[in-house]
Amino acid sequence: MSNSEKLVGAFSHALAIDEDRVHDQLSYNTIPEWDSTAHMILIAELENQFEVMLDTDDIIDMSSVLKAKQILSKYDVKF
Amino acid sequence: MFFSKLADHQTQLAVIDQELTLTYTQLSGKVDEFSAILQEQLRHPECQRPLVFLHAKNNYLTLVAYLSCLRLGFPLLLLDPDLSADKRQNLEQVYQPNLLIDDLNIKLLHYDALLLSEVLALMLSTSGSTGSPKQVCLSAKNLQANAESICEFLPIQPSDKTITSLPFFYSYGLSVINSHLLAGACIVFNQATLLSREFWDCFKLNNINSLAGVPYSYEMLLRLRFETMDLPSLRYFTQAGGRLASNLVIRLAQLAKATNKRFFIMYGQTEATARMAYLPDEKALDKPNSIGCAIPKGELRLVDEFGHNITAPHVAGELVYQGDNIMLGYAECRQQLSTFNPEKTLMTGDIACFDEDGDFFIKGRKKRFIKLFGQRVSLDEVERYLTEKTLECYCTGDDTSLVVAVKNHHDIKVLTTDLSVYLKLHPSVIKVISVAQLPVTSNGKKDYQQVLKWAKS
Repeated sequence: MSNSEKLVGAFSHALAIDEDRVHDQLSYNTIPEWDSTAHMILIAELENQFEVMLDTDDIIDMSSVLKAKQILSKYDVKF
Repeated sequence: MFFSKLADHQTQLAVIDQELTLTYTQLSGKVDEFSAILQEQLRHPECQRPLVFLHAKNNYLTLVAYLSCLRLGFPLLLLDPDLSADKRQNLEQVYQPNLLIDDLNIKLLHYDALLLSEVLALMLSTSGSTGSPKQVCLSAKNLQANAESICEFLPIQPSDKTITSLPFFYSYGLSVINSHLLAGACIVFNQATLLSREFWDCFKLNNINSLAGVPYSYEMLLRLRFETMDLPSLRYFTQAGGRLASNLVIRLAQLAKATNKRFFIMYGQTEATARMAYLPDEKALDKPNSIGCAIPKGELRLVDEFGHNITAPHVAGELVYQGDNIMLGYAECRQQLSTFNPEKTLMTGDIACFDEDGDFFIKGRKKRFIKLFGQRVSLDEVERYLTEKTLECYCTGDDTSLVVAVKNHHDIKVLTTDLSVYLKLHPSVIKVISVAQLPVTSNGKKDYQQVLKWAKS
């Protein structure tokens, strides 16, 4: 599975939405599904999928799909 | 009463809401102004004392409206502002409020005089987002008594600033507000979640001194690496709203010790306004499972199945509370607001025991509800909701998930999504299983234990 597929899968699972709704502009608090619970699940899912340990700033800055890609790329995850 | 003596705190800071700052004198002035507007709007011989629905948001406008109603003696119900329109309309139909207030905008619905008990001040829901009409009815005396007790055991100082991290309409969130107003301390209004940059920018900008959270808040905080965050202004933090796993209590107590802060575990219910017990912070490391002792001026004891007091340690019984913060009673419709016969004691529905030091430990629960993400979910209510959809089902669960067994259901996914929307809960904590036969025990009762076993296997 490619990193992009993993990322889309993580968002889809955590937000409980269809994969085709996951795109770069999708952001925190703009859809009812992305609330703090979903955010927690998302963080756990991303840490597992990409075997990284996110820090405080990463977690609170991860406010869109695009932002998630940028943050993960700091940990050498390429998209 | 704390709401009538705001001006006594004079130039102390009362409220910060983004750019706006109010001293207690200024807050009291705002409350006077809005009270006058409310009275002006209600100049009608029939309606001396209206019933008010207030959209309770974490902003200073909600605070001003809340305090105005308390001062005028207008009973008010605090609404979850995110409640869906149909649930809100249902509540309006059941209670027929005279006024709706949202951000100081007043909507007058009718002038009909409602028969409302003189002592009724406030109505709070216990069931989170289901919009159930069942309300806990509280008096001004209840609010004052609980705020006084809280100020005795928590180190709230007049110079303190706290931040809103829980909903205004939730008894725990409201108790933080009331106790700070009583102490003459400052409330920093914030609507962002613990997981947002906005929250932490606000926290640091205002040098927040205390933080309140439910178990789920602390799970989030620990995931946010709370232990490595540099928060020099934070002096103490509190946890209530359900049981926090003891390994997490220990981590938080260790963090408090290492950083010269204090961590208080508390216990309560909306039925007791908010607080009933607290664990003195120095005991948290030794007794991470304990809820400690009764709050000042309150009393906790245990009774056995025959209603007799349990006097020996380590014997389980139902936890019973006594104090001036016990609610007037429940209401499920407007007619029930006319008179109350408050109980002297509150049967908590929690099973507990105490140790040789008199510290209490919760062992289980008699009532049929679970707590998910700090929110109470009534299992009977969910069962009723599904039965109305003509489904044959049992609802059970524990504090990690809601479990629903449905007889011969073909579309589990649709049902899970439906419940997720209805309860506003993430689908990952809702487990629906389809069964050929709903299990009954040998004496013909619903066998919820069996359903739990199936769900976990």
